[in-house]
Amino acid sequence: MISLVSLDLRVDAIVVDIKTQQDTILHKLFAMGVMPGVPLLLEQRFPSYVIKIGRSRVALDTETAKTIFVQLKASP
Amino acid sequence: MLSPVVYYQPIEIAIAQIQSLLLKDNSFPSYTLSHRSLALLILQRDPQVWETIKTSPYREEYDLAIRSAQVSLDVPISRAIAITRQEKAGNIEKEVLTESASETSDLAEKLHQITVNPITGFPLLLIILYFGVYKFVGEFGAGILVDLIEGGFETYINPKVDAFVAAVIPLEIFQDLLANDYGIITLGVRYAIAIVLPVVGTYFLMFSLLEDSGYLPRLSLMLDQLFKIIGLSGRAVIPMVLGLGCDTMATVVTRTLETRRERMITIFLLALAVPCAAQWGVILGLLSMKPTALLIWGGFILSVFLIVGAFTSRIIPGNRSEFYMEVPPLRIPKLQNILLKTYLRMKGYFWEIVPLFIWVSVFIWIGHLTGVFSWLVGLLEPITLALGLPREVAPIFLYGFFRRDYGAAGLFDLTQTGILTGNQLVVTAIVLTLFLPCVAQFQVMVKEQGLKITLIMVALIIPFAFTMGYGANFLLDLVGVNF
Repeated sequence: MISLVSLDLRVDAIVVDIKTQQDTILHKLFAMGVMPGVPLLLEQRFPSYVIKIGRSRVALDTETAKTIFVQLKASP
Repeated sequence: MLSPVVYYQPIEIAIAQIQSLLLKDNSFPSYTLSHRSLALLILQRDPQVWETIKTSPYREEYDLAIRSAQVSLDVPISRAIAITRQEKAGNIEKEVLTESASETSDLAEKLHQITVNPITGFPLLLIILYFGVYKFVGEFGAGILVDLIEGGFETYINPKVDAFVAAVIPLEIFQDLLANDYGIITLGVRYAIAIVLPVVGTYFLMFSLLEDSGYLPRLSLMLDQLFKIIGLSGRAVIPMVLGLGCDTMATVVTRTLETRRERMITIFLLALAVPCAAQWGVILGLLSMKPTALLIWGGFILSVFLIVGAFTSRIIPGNRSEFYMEVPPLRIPKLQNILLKTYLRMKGYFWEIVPLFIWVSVFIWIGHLTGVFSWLVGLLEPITLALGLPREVAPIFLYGFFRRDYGAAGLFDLTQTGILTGNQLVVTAIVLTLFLPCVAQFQVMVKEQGLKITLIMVALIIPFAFTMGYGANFLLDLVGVNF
């Protein structure tokens, strides 16, 4: 399990956990489809993190990206 | 075809318990939701629903049901609910969706990369600003269109109105109410239609275009780090950009921001350092002959925006705001939708300003008649002179309070007479940009932030604007710049 900030660009991963004390962030991330079990692809880090999550795209700042933990998708 | 969502067993048990409580509970008379939906909201501790539950006699029982469900789950209830829904949505998608080989259009994907890649994205932002804002709104809207309509008023409408009013109304004081220098029609309506409407209209057209193309969320993610400096996040970019059209509308739109702190900083900066389209449109038109003057004005206002923002974010307590935003696909905007949106925004704006402009004309008329106006202008004159400006500018500052755009329009009128030097124009433009929010903006500020905070903001803004004008004049003299 690694933090989204240390994930390489364009590598298939799966969200495993969101670690935050703030319920509002958790709810917003859930509402945008960022939740455990969902496939994730990191597209860029600067000027903001951009991830592809399922069929949608989400922009995050570093603080929020730090709360998301992922696992590499096992290569077939 | 669609089966209902079935949650984990502990949640389903809790739902059943809460549903039976809801049958007895009369605390939710106005809800049109099904009891199951309401039970789910109660389970997730929805703040609004729990506000009602506070007064319910069954409060303890609801709480007990939630806690016993939580004990048998290893994740928080709201997360468990979200996971089940996600799974269900995924299953439905699998059932109904067949994918062709090329998933999204390659062009849209390439365009997206261009807009968010820092190497291409920032230059693109400058290109949009230059063509969309400077060329289209500034030169076309505030230049060509304003000249055209303003010329029409001066040549065809005003003389006819003056003559007609002179023929119908015998007393000169009442003639002045409708016509001549400060009349409702010759001044108020003319400002609204000839100077403000073309500028604001072209800006709204451009804003709707950017909005419908999906560019604005990309702008937010590009500028998030810059906005962090001033204690805001990329989310505040949209109200700020809208503020460049109309600060009053933008102040209302700050409701979309997450925290009270973000809203407060944004509203303050909108009031202080974000000129509305009518303001910067007119200023752009006036200074366009002197590019250096224009750059000095722009640089000065931008510096104030950043420095004051950074300072404010340090003194207002609270946490930094996080940034997270969905980025929708880029789309080719539908012309019909853009025109409709622009029309509705202009209509809303127009009917808001027309009564105010008429009131300002009436107020100026009463002010002239009773001498109150010249007394107020007299108070402002020493300040005006201290800024190195001719006394004729004092009334402009007074107008500026009633409407930002009204002050700008007055400045436009004054410059036509050639009374101001380049330096004086820059100083006036700076003070007028920073100076008070207009009456309409003041009203919505009170609505959003309360009277006390609004008054504190205004009490900070007025002396600050004049001090900055004084400082700008001093600096220009010191460096020996003359435009």
